[in-house]
Parts: sequence; structure tokens; C-alpha cells
Amino acid sequence: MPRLSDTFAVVNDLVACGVIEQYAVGGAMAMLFWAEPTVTFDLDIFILLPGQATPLVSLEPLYRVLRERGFAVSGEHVVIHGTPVQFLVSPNPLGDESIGAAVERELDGVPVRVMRPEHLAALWLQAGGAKRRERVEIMRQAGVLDEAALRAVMQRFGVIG
Amino acid sequence: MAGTDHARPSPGLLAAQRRAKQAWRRQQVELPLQEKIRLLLELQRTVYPILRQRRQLRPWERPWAIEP
Repeated sequence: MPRLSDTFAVVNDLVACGVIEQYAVGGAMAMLFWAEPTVTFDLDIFILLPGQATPLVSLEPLYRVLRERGFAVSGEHVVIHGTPVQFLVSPNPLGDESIGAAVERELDGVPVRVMRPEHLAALWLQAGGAKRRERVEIMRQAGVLDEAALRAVMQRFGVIG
Repeated sequence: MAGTDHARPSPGLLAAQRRAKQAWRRQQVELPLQEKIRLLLELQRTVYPILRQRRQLRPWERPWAIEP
């Protein structure tokens, strides 16, 4: 049976091959790395794509590469070694910084880039919603949020908490 | 049911409960990654049948076929 690290090895290879420029784990799975597990059924991978900044209409080129490697694409998800992965193109400068400033962790010897808690929290507050605000509070209670760093990120990108 | 004369937690009890929750959350931070993934897979298996009864699930909304 596959392990989660097999999925990350594939994502790392997408960077090595130049299919994606960079990535960082976000969402509930990033929270698992920093704080506690919360239920989720997919793995959010925020990505920067190589090339010029043009409006993007499809992730089909990325999906094609993954299909060629034998992974099933189902709607907006690709099942990579048993884990449904949603690739999310960074929507704005806060997303870009979150990917760029991600921290490298390790799972079964495989490097995994994970968004910092403060960027995660800023993205959740920017997106809004009760569930996301609750996640920020959980990270706060877990003592993993640097409040000064969070305030700085929020100020820099005009996020209102 | 909507009475106003029920017993209420004292500020001290509330504070103690908050401290306990915070301590529990800080313990979770220290768990090995493998154990957190094992807990996530367990959560998925627990929640899945409940969600399936409540609404139509999308194809990918199911426990992951992986090992921790």
C-alpha cells in the first residue's frame, strides 16, 4: 500500500521536471504538519507555474503529465498514490509569498514544502469563513502562530482579520 | 428547556477548561508526523459513513487508500 510520502515524491518530481515552478502544501494538511490533524479528504498543493504571467484557463497540461504517469484525474483532483490532490494555482501575491516562504519538512526521507503557519492563517483569514477562522484559533491555541509575524503578513497584503 | 436557572461554569472552571484544551493542543503539536497521519486516516474512516448518510459525496471524498 502506498504512503503519503510517495505522493510528495511525485510532486517534487513535477518541480524537478519543470512542470511546476514551485509548490507548498496548504489547507488542512499543512495544519497537520504544524498542529493537529483535522479531517480532510484531499491534499491542497498550491503551485506557481513556470512561464509568463498570462491568464490561465486550464490545468490540463499539468493533468496530462500526471495522466501519462498513470494517475487518474477526477474533476479537479488527481489521485496520486491513493491520495486525492488538488493543485491550486497561487491566486494572488499572498499566495506567491506563502509558496516562496514555505518550510521544508521531511516525511519518510522525502522533502515536503509546507506553508508557514502565519501564511496559512493569513490565507484563511483572507478567504474567510467560520471553518477557516476556527483553524486559525486552533493554531493559536497550539502555540504555533507567531502573532507579530502574522500581523506583518496581514498588513503587507491588506488582510483584515 | 430555555430556562435561565441552570448551573453555569464559574470563570475559574472556564479558565481551567481553556487551559486544558490549550495543553492538549500543544501535546498534539509534538506528536510524530506518522502518528498524526495515522490519526487523520482514522478520522477519515470515522467521518466518512456519517458524511455519506448526510449528503452525496464527490468521488474523491473517501478514506485514503494509504498506510501512515
